[in-house]
Amino acid sequence: MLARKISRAKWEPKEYLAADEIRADVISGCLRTTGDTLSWWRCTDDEEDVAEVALALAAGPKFERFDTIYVVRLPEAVFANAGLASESTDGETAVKDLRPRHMDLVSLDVERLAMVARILGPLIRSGDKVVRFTKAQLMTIVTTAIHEERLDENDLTQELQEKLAWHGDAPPS
Amino acid sequence: MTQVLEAKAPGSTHAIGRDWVDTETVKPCQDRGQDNSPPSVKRVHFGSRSNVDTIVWGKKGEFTVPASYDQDKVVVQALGTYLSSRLRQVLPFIASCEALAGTPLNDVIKSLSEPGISVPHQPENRNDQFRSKLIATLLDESIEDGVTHPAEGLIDEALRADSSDCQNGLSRVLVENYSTRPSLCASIIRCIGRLDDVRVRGWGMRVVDDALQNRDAEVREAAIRALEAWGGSEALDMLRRHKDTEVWLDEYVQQVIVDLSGTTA
Repeated sequence: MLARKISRAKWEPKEYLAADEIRADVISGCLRTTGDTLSWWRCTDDEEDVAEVALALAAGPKFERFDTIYVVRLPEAVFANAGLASESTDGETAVKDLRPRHMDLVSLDVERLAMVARILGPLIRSGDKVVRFTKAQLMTIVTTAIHEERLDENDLTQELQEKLAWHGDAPPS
Repeated sequence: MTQVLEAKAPGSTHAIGRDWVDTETVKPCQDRGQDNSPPSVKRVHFGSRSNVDTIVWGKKGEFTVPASYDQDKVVVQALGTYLSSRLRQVLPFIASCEALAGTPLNDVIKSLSEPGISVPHQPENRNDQFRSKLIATLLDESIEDGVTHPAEGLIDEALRADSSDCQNGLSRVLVENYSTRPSLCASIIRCIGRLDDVRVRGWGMRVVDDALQNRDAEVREAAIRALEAWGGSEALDMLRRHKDTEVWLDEYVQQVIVDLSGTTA
């Protein structure tokens, strides 16, 4: 399976669009590309393993605050069957054992990105393949990784370190 | 706050959210010169279930706010017996209304009371500039979960400079845009929700309480996120009272209640 953070609310139908149409805002707000690539993480279909993706994201270089996040997952073959190219690359996360799980969809153009959106739309709206991690759950995931010594707290962004300190960085129950 | 809303054709009614405008004989003002010719009666109805603003034009450009209203409909009478030069310049804007879409009626009135005529869309003071910059910043870059947004800094700075002024400005942006740009409002509420609850206590809760009733799921989600971030018994009570129509949002609410119940004594 592949998984990626999404902005769940951006995928809601709008009254000015047909029921199955997808807002253009998902492109700028949810499927933001860099160098025509789109970042994904490998996981199993098990929700506990999707939590590993949440950990990889929270331990990333951009993550500065604990917010509720939504992660969508789908079989890796879906993209391959749609003719989308991919490359395994090291993920940008402070959790070293998760870095090899990262891959990019590559050589994307507008048409291919729209294809990704059309693949994801029904999955996200049905809710079956979306996992939510609330702020509290995300904090627990991160602090657990710190206590299991998979993650060095000092490798988190400064902002996230301060927030963990503020909340006491208590060991998870 | 009642706004001057879009009114394209005489006799048409536009319901936008809770506000509406009904035009009867609105048309661009004709320069009636100095001949004291019979006035043309112009009526514009502005309405809101929660609030009303009324403007009455009399001779020589006199105006009064507020004036009488009939039930929940406000009858605005523009009696063009003798319009002052300033009113003559402004009335075409009011008549076409599109030029004023989203502009509070009070701003229109304010512009009438000042020397010279300015188009009310132009920023006039620090609060206007703050709101313009905030909107531009939020439209330029969407809010990403887990990532600080530049608009948070703008709001924080404005709150430090003048808390009341900033809150009024934010409230006004929300009221003006709830119907037409819910995504923008959701972004603003997300920024507010990221502020320290002590800084926005009371006012912030009222904003979020209102947002929870919004018909747009993105706005409601932003409100739930704010309550999740602030926590505390008041936020918990608000979440317990809320029953969302969207399954995914209702499940989110239930999980946040569980999360907060563990930390709220």
